[in-house]
Amino acid sequence: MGLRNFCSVILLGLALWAIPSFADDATTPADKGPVLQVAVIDGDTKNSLTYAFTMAMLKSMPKTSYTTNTIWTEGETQFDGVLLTELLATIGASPTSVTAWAINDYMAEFSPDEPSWDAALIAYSMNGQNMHVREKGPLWIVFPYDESSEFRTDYVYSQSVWQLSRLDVE
Amino acid sequence: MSTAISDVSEVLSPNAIKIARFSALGAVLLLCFLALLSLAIEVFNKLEHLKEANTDNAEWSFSQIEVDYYRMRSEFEIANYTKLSDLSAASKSFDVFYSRIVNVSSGPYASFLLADMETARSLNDSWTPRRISLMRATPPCGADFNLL
Repeated sequence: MGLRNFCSVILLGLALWAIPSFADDATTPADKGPVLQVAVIDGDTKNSLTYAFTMAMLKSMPKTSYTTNTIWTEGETQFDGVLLTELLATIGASPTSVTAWAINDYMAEFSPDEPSWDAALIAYSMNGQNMHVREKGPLWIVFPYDESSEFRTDYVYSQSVWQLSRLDVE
Repeated sequence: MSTAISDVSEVLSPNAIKIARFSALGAVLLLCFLALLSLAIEVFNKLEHLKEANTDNAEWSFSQIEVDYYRMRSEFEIANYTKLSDLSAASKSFDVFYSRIVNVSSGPYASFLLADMETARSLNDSWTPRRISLMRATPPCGADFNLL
């Protein structure tokens, strides 16, 4: 990946330098419309019913908090959010598997028979603040990593999906 | 030795000798079983320890940076050549790329990477110019594109 190529991409950004509204004023995606889509897929017909959740809807659901160290953040970090199981119960889904998709199409699978299933938290705030996409937000699946070595494995790290945008429920 | 055995034979009945022999054999087998159990527990503990990871996967992280870089470049080129008025896709791809760079350049994961001198030098040589460009581009890319 050459520096020249990179700079050519950045040129467009630099051309916009004169715009008076800068990063500090930028609204996060969390402020605009749905932040999470949940597609419930019928295993037989493959028809799907999609639910769209806004940040306000997620915040109105029963909140769970974890205070834990992570391999991505400095020191103990508090995450507030909704348990995956809680979210699925809200829409009346009892799936055999869930696939979590990030904005960049990264995906990870969850199964009810895994220890991580009950602990998976869809976090919408970190240390009391909404998370920008640049901070792995607006939604980030996290686990109580400090609680057990079960949550400090490569597999669970791979399930810690940042920038979560969609859940496929089957 | 034969005298000692004959002495024992004289004192103990044949059945008692047989029981003593079986007991000795049982004790040896029990010791072997305990030793194997202890080794199995040790192996199990080591496997549990090996399952535990302190960092993210470095190879995957760097390959993902490259993927997200090309995705961002593609989005910006599309926006540039098609004169798109909605730059939200380009902006989002920039944010995703930014998060990847921050992940390997600050925080505990970066400390882990930089602990290795060769990796640190390589990162410094190849990423410093990119980080500078990235930080310069951050304010406009974070601007409200609806104002355009």
